[in-house]
Amino acid sequence: MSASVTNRADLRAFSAGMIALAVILAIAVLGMTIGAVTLSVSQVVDGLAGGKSAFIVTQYRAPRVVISILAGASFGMAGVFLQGALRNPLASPDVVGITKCAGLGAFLAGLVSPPALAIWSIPAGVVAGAVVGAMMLLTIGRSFGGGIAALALVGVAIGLFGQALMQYVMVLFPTRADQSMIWLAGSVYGSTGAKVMALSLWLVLCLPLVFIAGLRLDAGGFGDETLISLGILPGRLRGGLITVSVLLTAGAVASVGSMGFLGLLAPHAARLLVGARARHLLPVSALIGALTLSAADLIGRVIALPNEIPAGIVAAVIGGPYLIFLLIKEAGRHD
Amino acid sequence: MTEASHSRLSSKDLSLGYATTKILEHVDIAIPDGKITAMIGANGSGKSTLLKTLGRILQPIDGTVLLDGRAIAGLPSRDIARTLALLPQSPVSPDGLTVRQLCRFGRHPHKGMLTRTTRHDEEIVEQALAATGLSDLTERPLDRLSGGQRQRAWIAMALAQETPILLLDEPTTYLDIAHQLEVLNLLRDLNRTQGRTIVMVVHDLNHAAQYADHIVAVANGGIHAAGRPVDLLTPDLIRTVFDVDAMVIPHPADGTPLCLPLSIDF
Amino acid sequence: MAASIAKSETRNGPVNPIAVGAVFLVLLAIAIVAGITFGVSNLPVSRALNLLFSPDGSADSALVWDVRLPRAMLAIAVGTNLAIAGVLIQTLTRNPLASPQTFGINAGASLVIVVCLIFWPEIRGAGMVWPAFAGAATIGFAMWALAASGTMNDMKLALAGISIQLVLAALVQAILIANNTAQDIVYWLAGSINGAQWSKVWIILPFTLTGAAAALIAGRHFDILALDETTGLSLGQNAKRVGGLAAIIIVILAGSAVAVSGPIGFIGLLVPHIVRRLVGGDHMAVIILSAICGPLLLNSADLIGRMTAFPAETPVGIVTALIGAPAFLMILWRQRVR
Repeated sequence: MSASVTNRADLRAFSAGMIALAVILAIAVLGMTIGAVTLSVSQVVDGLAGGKSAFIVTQYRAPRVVISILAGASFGMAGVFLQGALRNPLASPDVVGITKCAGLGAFLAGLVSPPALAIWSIPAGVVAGAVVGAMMLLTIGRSFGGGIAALALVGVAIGLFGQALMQYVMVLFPTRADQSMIWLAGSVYGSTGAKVMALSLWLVLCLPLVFIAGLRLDAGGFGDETLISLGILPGRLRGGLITVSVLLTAGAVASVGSMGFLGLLAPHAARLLVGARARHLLPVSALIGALTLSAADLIGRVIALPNEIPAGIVAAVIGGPYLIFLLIKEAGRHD
Repeated sequence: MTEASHSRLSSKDLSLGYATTKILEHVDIAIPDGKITAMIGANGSGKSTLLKTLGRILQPIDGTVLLDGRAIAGLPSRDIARTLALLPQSPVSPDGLTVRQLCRFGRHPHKGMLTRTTRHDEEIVEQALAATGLSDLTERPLDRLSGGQRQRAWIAMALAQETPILLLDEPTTYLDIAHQLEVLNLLRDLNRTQGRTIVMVVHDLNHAAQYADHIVAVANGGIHAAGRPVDLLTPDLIRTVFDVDAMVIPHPADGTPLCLPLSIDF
Repeated sequence: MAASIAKSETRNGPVNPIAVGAVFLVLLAIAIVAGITFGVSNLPVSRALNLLFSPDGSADSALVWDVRLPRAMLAIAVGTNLAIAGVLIQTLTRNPLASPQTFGINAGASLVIVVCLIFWPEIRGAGMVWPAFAGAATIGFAMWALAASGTMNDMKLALAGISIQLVLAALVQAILIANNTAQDIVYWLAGSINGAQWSKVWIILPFTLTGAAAALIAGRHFDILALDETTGLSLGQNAKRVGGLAAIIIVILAGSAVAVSGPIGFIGLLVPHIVRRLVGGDHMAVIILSAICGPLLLNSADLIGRMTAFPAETPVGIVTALIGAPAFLMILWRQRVR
């Protein structure tokens, strides 16, 4: 009986994952057909294989599609880890201001360092910003005693502050305003093969950590007293989960800016589909994150032709109502 | 008494409390091996704090908790977790866990989280589930269990931890009388059949009297008294510890002391 | 609840409201004069004051009368609107975290105006007030329905409001980008009183005066609204009617402010807290003092925005967000202590 139940849950997660994957692929191909020159699906496939449209497909369109998938998956997993670590369904890096701080870090780093060093300084700035944001959240949030909405509100305030600070710097350095708009709103516009390489490399480096943290994610749902009784140090466990979440967020923000609400939406949608067990939740949340960002980008590109709405804005429009829905659903529970 | 020589868990000159205020001072306590110990005391007397400190969830302000003669603060947490398990008053679990999945977490101190569950682990889990009468409910999610069943599931997890010592913080709160007895009978069974040392904080004096071999009364910033229920539970003690006048008569069924409160003494 | 807030906030004994009002007025006057003297072409204080009382037709005079004075006046009107709207909404919902911004009302007004501007670009000036009212009222009603359902605590309600604000802001951004009007983004997202003209002052002024007057006349009743509903009923108060009146005033004040300056945040949240902390819970005093403190705060923020990035200008909405976000955390903190 045990085996059959586990198998049923596994099967469910597997089919959900496969369907998500199929949709992602469909959106990816569709995404590569659209642009200044409309290509047919066969032209895209041909281009990927090195055919006639190879340049436009592999240089411009494929990187953008791949970045959407990788960054979306990162946001999706980062949300799972942070929510698990803090046992708070609203605690995703985008709701609690970590992505905004990471974006600010990137913008400031790009501002102060010479352009030649930007390739190093911007990622460093992203990581620094994300870490500072997470530390502020935890320090301030802890002293609040940790109500679910309280922590989220603290994070929102931190995010608003980070955003205002970035806007202020934008005013000071108007020539850099374009860049800061991207960090602020989140966009996959202008993705290059180099960016794809950088993010892939980062994710490969993070992968062992993601794997280890994933195995420990379920335990994060226990209270601290139970953890101690089991011989697990709660501080180390939660600190580790938060660290992985911050690393994933940093990687994603460094490539696409502060995308809104993906880290909130993906884990919740995944939980509805496949339940709360880490082994099902984590991969499915990653896939749904990838799916959502790809879809947001596609929508942003086609909805207002010839203009392009940054994917981050589309994601906020899709994801924000979800937060409100969650609040209404969770109203009266927990605290 | 020869308790000290048969006690794996004890404390020496322990002072507990929070940053500025001490709740208990100079506590020397020895938990008798293979017995059921009940901690009693008024609300806020510090009995739960004492239990949590014995289970190294809280750090004492002063003094040491000794496990097998060694200071518990210096031992690796996982080593302790193979000797001693603590069940909090209202434990929080991950969402959607089944009974078996919960119980498997009890194996953590023996294997770590990165290694797979072995055949041996599964056998221990199975035994723990059987001992707590949950064999038919193994695939039931925790949130679909009754209060008593859920408490038994948590006890099953602690059992799977295979610790000789089991600490429980008010295991019967929030349960109705039938479920309270269900849990207490289970604990007595575990003690009698498996020889586990059990320490529990209980509110009901008569439960303490009926189920415990040893009672620790916490009051007035320290251990007021400790001993066998028959010797310990007297009207005098109840007045000092709870500020309540009571008669104590032998229980008609089994002769254990039965406390009948008279009125609150203002 | 608001009553209990008022009590605890005056722990150290309330300060005399008239003294507070006098200090606020002096500070406001200083801020206005500073605002008039400071700029790319700096005027000495004496010259600025002279021109203020006897314009002489010079370039400096035009600078004072056509650029800097209308700006100060607009800040006064907008500040008054947002501050009084903040007082009323916090009283109405008995939620210290409520404000036209944190409940998404400003963003609602902003979105509807932007949508209308896209379809009817000929809308100008006073015409923008009506869509603003519609947007403010819609979101206000939605938040009221959420609050009235009673299932959300203060913090969840504020979080829901801020989420609504974020979503609407994203929509505004999307619409502006889609229509190639990206340069207006900061104005419609953060708010600004840059480039104020007398015409804008004349648009908002009637609503400021009406709203403030209505709030003052009804002030006594709001005191009762601050008690819980049952007590209000037992005192013979028709809570619904007073609540409805308060809601209409909030929509008028917040909507007209957004129509002329975009959705400036945090003024409506902070001012009531500052004032209540100083003088306690009497609503007449709180409304009057908020009507002075709001302009003071907005003028000061505008001045800071003009000075700190000189010669560039930081839109005042960004300055209020920089000051307001940490202050919001402090309000949250006091909320938790309670």
